Amino acid sequence: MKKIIAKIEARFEQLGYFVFARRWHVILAALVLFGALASQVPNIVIDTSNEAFFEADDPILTQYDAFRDQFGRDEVVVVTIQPKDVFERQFLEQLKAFHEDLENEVPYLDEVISLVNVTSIKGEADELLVKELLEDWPEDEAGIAALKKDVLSNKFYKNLLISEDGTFTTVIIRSNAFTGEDTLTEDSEFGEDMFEDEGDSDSTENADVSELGEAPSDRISEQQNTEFTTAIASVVQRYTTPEFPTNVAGSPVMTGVLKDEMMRNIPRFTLMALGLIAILLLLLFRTPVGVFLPLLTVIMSLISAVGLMSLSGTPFTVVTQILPSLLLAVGVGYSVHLLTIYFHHVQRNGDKEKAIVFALGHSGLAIFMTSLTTAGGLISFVPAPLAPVSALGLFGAIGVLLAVFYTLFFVPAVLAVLPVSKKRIDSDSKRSSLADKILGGFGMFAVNRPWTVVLGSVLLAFVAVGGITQLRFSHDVISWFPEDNPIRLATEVVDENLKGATTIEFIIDTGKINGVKDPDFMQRLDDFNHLAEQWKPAASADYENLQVGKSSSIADTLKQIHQALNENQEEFYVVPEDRDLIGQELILFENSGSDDLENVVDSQFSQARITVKTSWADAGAYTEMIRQLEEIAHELFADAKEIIVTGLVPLLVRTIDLVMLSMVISYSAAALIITLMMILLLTDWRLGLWSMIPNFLPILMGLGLMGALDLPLDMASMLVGSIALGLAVDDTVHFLHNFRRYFHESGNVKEAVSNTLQTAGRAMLFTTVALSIGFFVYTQATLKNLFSFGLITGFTIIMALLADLLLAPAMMALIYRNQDANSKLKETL
Amino acid sequence: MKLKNLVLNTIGIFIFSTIFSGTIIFPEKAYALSGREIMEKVNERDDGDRSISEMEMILIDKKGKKRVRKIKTYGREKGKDSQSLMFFLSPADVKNTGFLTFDYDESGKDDDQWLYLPALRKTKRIASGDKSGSFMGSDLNYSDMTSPDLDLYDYTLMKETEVKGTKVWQIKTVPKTKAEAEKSGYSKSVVFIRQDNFMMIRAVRWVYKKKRNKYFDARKIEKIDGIWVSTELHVTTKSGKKTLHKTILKQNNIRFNQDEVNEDLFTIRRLEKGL
Repeated sequence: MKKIIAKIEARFEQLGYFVFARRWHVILAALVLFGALASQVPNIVIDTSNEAFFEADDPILTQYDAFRDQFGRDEVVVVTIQPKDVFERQFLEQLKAFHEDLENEVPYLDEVISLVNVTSIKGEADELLVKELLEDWPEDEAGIAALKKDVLSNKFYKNLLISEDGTFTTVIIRSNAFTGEDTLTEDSEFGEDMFEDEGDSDSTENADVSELGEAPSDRISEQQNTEFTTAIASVVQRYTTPEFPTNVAGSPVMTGVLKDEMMRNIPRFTLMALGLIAILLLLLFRTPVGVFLPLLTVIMSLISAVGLMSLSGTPFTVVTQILPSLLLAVGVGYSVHLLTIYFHHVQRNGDKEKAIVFALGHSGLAIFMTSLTTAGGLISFVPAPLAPVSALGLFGAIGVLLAVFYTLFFVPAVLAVLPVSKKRIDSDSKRSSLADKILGGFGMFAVNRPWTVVLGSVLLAFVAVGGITQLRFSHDVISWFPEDNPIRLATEVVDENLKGATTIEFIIDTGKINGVKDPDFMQRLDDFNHLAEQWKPAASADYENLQVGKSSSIADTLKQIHQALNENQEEFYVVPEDRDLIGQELILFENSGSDDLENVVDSQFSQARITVKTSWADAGAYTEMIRQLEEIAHELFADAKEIIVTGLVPLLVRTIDLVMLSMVISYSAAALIITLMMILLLTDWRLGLWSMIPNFLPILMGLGLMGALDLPLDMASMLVGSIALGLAVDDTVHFLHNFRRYFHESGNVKEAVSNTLQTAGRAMLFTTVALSIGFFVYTQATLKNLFSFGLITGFTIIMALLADLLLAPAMMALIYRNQDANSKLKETL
Repeated sequence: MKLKNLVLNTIGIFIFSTIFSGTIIFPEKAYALSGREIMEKVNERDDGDRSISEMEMILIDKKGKKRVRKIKTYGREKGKDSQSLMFFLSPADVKNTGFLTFDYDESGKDDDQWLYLPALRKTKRIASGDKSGSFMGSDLNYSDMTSPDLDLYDYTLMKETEVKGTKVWQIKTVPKTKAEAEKSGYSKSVVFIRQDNFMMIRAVRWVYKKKRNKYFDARKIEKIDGIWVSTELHVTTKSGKKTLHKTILKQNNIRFNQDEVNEDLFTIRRLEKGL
């Protein structure tokens, strides 16, 4: 084995000769590659939508798209207004102006609904009035009083447009789910093709509700959603006064705010990490080249990786936003290792070429190995079903490999070109000898008292497991925002006063044309609403406040019409029993000009939509609610062809399922990949397995801390395990690689450990500091999920260093206790 | 003598140049008729009186799914106003459901409409000044079924062109007020009028406050009893190039000057009798 290693190291030395000889070619080649990828960066896209978490062919997503194709976008922006008195002329006039401005100024608008234009169905003696509520403006106080009475007694408006106590009113703004081009003008060519049929369909069978009519690419884009919410925000701002106090809530806004936060975070953290690492490098090398080259290398690999993302159309999401700091922290270590040895050699001998060759020969292999383990840890994400996590894994791994490529080719070439630094690197400064003393102290303690260390580690492991049992999965976008964030406050207002604005959608497919018009079916739709609104969480549940605010369907519209046709008498607010009457009442409604029916039933009256409105909660809280509501639906509609549950909430629940699944897959994959790598690198499967203990223990401790601090396990914090594993193992690789060499020379564990820590130790210390900086930077994030990710990962990395300073030497002491007797073992090293 | 000639000549030149320059200065081209004048002739066109027909309405959604309704229609002119009585023939659940409509020419006077529901055995008056509402859930508005008040619109003759081999005028019509746009449901239209019979055979309309357009196409026109009738009309609602919904309106077996179509037909009593 030693021969193979020696061969490989010799190859690296040859690389050094090559790079030196062709330094300008290498620099040019590297710059060309960099330039090509960097040019793609401006095209990068940021996507904070809920859909971004899914792969394009995920059935939950395609079902959601099919639903929106039929019924429109379910996500709405809700603007709540709490004036002194809703039913007061001046306020109503303001409301009308507000409503109209929204209609005129907001792009991609499907509709705006408020008390101004909500459908009012009223019957009086001989007359039936179907109109917009405020079409006839109230003329006097009596008119306003009548309006108030109508609105407050209307079961449909309650908790939709007006709060139960009548003090809050809302304006609901819906965008298009799909956007198409709009190019027709009066000067267009009105040719025959415009008036032609698109191709007749003679089929009268019902299509599956899960058939898609729109291409996902027509889905409203992030950019368009932002324009939509920004326009709303500017109109709201114009109208907001103490007399017209507003709150803006709704998931489209959430998506927009999240995107803003990300756009602010990414450059901020990248620069912070860069700055701190620059300082570190300055302290370490005391020469501009030592700062400039490593930073240049990581920046180049970061930009190259982002360029590749852009080229492949992969967007930045809440998960991939950690990529810059990750690559910076990780990549810097490679050039540090190389430069340390280079500077050391070139100071002594003054020959650049020899120094480059020596540096590559001695550290090239180790650098390459550590990059492989880190990339391995990241690649473990690729099979994860959460799309952004998978992307992070792929581009993170590519970034890491690019960093090592630039380190092994570009850096030596630049060194070959630059003049030799006159400044001596003082390796005997007080500071470094102090560091050596501390490192040595750890190592010796461990070697002298191996059992103490091992037992102590076992104890810590148990404690960690205790913390792990407290862990809970979570997906709660609102909780990521600080408590005083407007969107968070607004959502609380809506949840408290209007019983929520988050929806679960049920589609009941009767499988028959006009199946929905069957009186028995209509009655069951009505029954469902009653049962759903009575739903309460179990007594022991975490979320006692969760409730169903409202459940509505076409049955409600029908009841309103029926009541109106019977002189508004209360007892007629029921579903008619006569099938013909239902048909006739619906024709009447269709004739009235209202297109409300489009939103609740398909044109063949075969599929009915039920919208269940609820308050915002962590995705996990909805699981029970959905399950029970689904049970009710299956019982009531046992004869239905198909029952589909879709909408935003199921999307969120599915996300959390994917988080859990991704975690299981990626952690298992990472453990497997890295263990295999360690076995290969150490060429001894027993040693390889043992070596994983100082790697896994820090992960256990990190997760344990998360549980103990009650930090939730969500898609950001879940990344901790695999990332930390890939990084922690670097220290172990350096330790074991050097330990093996020294042990082979001396045959003495104590001496070997001591020498290892004196040489590799400082580099290990540096990389640990650099990495933990790269992650602790996230504790400054305004988004809370990033905070826990940064904190725990940084902590885990520090634990990994300690494990390699204590546990690894202790284990070596125990394993190689009878080293003289075990000459066979010696030879394998 | 010379002075008189001079004066006469000057006046002559003056008159001549005024007439001549008028045709250059006016923005509209020197066609025989202006946009407004053409539309007046369209309104004046005899579209028949005392009519009976079986209307077939085919509603097609964006997935191509069809619904068919058959409606028996009676129509009568009463001076400048018009009256119509409609009964559903099918589908079965709405058979005998009836609509009686009085459409008044007078500006600002709303229509009167009564609805009879056989299942309830009740007649209800429907109040709606809004002609932007859809006719029976189809792609046509009520405003499409009635003649517009010409004074409320600006008409511009855009050009002369051809549709399926016949010469037409292409005219842009724009409501003068927001109120009219809201009421009719359209913010703008481009209509195509046949030059030989003043029939509107095509139109493209911009829906008020929505990014949608409606395309009207008279696929079949026939001369029956001396009256030009559109016997098959296709109306398609599109958003951009995407079809959202389509209606095919067929007038089958339309006949005019029928004896049974008289004043007594258009009453609530007759409405409640059904077919």
